Amino acid sequence: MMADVSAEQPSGTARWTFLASPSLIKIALLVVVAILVLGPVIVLLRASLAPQDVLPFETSAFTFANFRQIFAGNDTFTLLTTTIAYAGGSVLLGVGAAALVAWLTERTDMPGATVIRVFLFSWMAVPPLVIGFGWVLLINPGNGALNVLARAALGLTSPLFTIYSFWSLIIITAFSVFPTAYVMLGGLFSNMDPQLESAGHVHGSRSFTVMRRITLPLLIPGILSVGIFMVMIVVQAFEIPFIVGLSAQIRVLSTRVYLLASPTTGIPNYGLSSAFGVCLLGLACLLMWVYFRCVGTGEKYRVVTGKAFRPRRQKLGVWRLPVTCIVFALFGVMILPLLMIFWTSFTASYQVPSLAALGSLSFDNYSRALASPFAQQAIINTLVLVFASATLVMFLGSLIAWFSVRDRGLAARILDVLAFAPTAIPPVVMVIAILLVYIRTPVYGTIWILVLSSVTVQLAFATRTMTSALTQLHKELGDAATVCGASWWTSFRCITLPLLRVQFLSGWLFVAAHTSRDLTIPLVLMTSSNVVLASAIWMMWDFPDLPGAAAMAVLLVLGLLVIVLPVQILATRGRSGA
Amino acid sequence: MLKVSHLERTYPAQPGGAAVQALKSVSLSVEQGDIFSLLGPSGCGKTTMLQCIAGLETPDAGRIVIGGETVYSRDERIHLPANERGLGMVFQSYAIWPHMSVAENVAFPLLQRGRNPGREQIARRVDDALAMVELAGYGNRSATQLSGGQQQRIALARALVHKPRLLLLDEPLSNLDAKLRDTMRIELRRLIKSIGITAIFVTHDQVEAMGMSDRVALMRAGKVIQVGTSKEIYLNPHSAFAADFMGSGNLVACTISDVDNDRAVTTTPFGQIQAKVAAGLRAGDDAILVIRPNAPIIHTQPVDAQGDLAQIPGNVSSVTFLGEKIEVRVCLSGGYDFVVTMNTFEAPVEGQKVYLTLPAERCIVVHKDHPVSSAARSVDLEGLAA
Repeated sequence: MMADVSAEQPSGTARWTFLASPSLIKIALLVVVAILVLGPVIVLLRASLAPQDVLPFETSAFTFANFRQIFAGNDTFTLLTTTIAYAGGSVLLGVGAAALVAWLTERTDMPGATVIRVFLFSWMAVPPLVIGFGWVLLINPGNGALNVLARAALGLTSPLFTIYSFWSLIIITAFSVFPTAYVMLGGLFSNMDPQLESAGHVHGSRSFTVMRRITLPLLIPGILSVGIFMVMIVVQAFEIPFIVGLSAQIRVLSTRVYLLASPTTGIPNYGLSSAFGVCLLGLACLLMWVYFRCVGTGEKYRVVTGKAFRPRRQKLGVWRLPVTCIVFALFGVMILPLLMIFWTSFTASYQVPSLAALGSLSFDNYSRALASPFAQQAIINTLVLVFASATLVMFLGSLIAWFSVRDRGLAARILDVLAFAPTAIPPVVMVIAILLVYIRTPVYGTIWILVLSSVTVQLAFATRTMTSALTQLHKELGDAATVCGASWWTSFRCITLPLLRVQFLSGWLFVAAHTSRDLTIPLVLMTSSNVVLASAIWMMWDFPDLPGAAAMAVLLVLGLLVIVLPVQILATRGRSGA
Repeated sequence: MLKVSHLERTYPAQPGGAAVQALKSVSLSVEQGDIFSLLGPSGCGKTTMLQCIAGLETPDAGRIVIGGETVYSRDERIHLPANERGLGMVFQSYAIWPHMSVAENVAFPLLQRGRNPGREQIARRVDDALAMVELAGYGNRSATQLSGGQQQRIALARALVHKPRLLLLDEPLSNLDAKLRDTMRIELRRLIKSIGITAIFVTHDQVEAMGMSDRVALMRAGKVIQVGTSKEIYLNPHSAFAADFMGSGNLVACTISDVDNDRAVTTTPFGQIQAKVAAGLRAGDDAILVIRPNAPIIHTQPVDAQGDLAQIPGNVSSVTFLGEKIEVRVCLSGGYDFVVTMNTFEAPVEGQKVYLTLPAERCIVVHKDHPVSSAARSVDLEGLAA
């Protein structure tokens, strides 16, 4: 019996198996994650305490000059209040609308709920960059399409709308907050135990009273925590304030950090930029703390249980038609900037949409864009960036998840915390810190520094996705492989990963979508050789070659939709089937 | 074949809890070819024990030797990883990998540690293993299409295909329904015996342990209470816990008035009774008298009590029909409620006067348990009464 086992001698590869031992992998992971996450943070702190105009490695001087400068002027106070007003305003609007629409689609008999759901879930395929440009084309005071139309129709002399105002910025941002908030709130609304409301009805309350006295108070903690989470996101957001806000002279923290590090004229002021970055980091951490406090108190209102309920649906009655019209009109407004970009991509030079211009439309911009080596390079770079970073980060996230779920030692806990930390670090701050770390290395200027940055920024999401997936996987499945003689690595590769393939794939798609639409990372780290689609669109827009930029933007959106839409339709079908 | 000595394992305290001592210096020895059961209530450390043997859990101290090879020793700083111990294991959830076919599941152990015996060899051994568990021809099925009983047999085929030196079974029958469990128990024992492999079997069900194993280790709170064949533990338990866990019984608090060799005279609420005595008990000790429900001989008329026979009168207070047997509660003098089982066809009526005859060799006096245990038992007794 035993002779049989020993007769099958391990082959030569067994020599290397010690490399796959879990403790070695754990140490390697710790080192990698520490370099990815802690490295930039330490360099950022160092740079904020270094004299201005010097790279942090090139000096040994420590100074508080940057922070003194920040807190000396009135400028900073204005910056802070603007940031908070901007984030608060857009979240109030966006989350409010999302809560209303979530209630309509999940808890009433409004028609078209599935379409709305697929639409809003797929909205993550639309880059904020493209939306920003679309709005600029729509309502800039000079030749914005809506303004031109309004002038022609109403005979006005002054523009009806202007994009370059605080309110426009807030409303445009609210439109980008809306889909994310809806995704987060949808589950909250549909999973609420209907018995809580039935109890109200049974005890004699009218529908409106039940909603006001029972449904709303129960949902408030959930809506509040989504709101705080979104404030955190908006404070960190960079792209829309950058595209829309800068021309209007509306400065928020994130754009300030960027402009100091990459000014249009003059030399970068890394010291002051880092100091502002530290402030923004502090604000983000504060919001994160508030968020966790809120989620904590929300626990006592745990109406969202794991059980799948079939919630009671409110009949809208006579309100059914008007409400449906308003909601779909809202989506119409949401799509307008996209349509505008779409129109522009077919024009030879930008012109306001009209029947007369219809004849001059052509695919020239597309063929021109696709023929240019610049665009081809951008497309190839985008593909490399998306595939490499999504695959790497999901793989890294899976490994970290395994240790934080199965190992639970001290090292595993440190790993978990480190992987979660990037959530609180605003991407623009993180990227500038990464720039400071790698600017003197050969990695800088290649596509791989973009990969590295995307991996760092998406690490928290990947780890959380895989952690929640792994906790649902029975431990014995992996143990069985180990007892069968499989090494840790074989067990992970042949058993754990294949069993989590669905979550791995959906996480991969999410990361891929967010990496390809992101402008922050490519913009800060841009050199002539690592241009991706997002930064190419920005460059063409800035050049200005509006039709070319529009054509590239349409290509990017279409590429993203091809990935995202089928998945969302499948997911929605699976949901209604269950 | 397997030698475990002074094994210790303490789980570190979780936030908001205390450290749990799962194994307290446990020693065991299992002979080649035996089916050995680790039996005990949940939380007694039996699963931790199995995990330590498998290598999935690292003990804090002690020594484990499998077939002459030390796989764990703290003093010698030896810890062979689970994948190098050459064992087979059947898990409670079966742990059949749903993304592989039946054949791929079973072939998995043959391909590990750099082995690759070749395509034909693998196919032959997988077929042999499947035939052994009577699932020949199921190789191409998806593992998720199988029933619970079939999945369990796949798990067994996978655990045996690489001819391990030791087979570990972690509550393999607990996920099956009652009827299937009975057939699988007999089937499993026949199979393991026909291969001749040594098997360690973890269960919390004493019927399973008795039906499956050659020897049983009764565990409780991280310690081995008693080791022996199931018959030995059932008939000669050392403690009230062992008596109670290995089957139902009337546990009567008593005082030992006299001990003579292996016999004792005890004083109980319903009179003096002669019984066998567990080692270490002396006259004057407070102890527990164990009388199995099927031990008393029941008469409707008084008979001559001779020699070591005790005869106690009582009134039938309730009769519960259970099919193969009936459970009769008899109210003895002193108000003691006594449970006996009787043949279905000899049921007495409620209120009838009966006489219980208790031969000394059917009764045993055992040690009282530690305070922890008596609390646990009184809960059990309450459950029984309800």
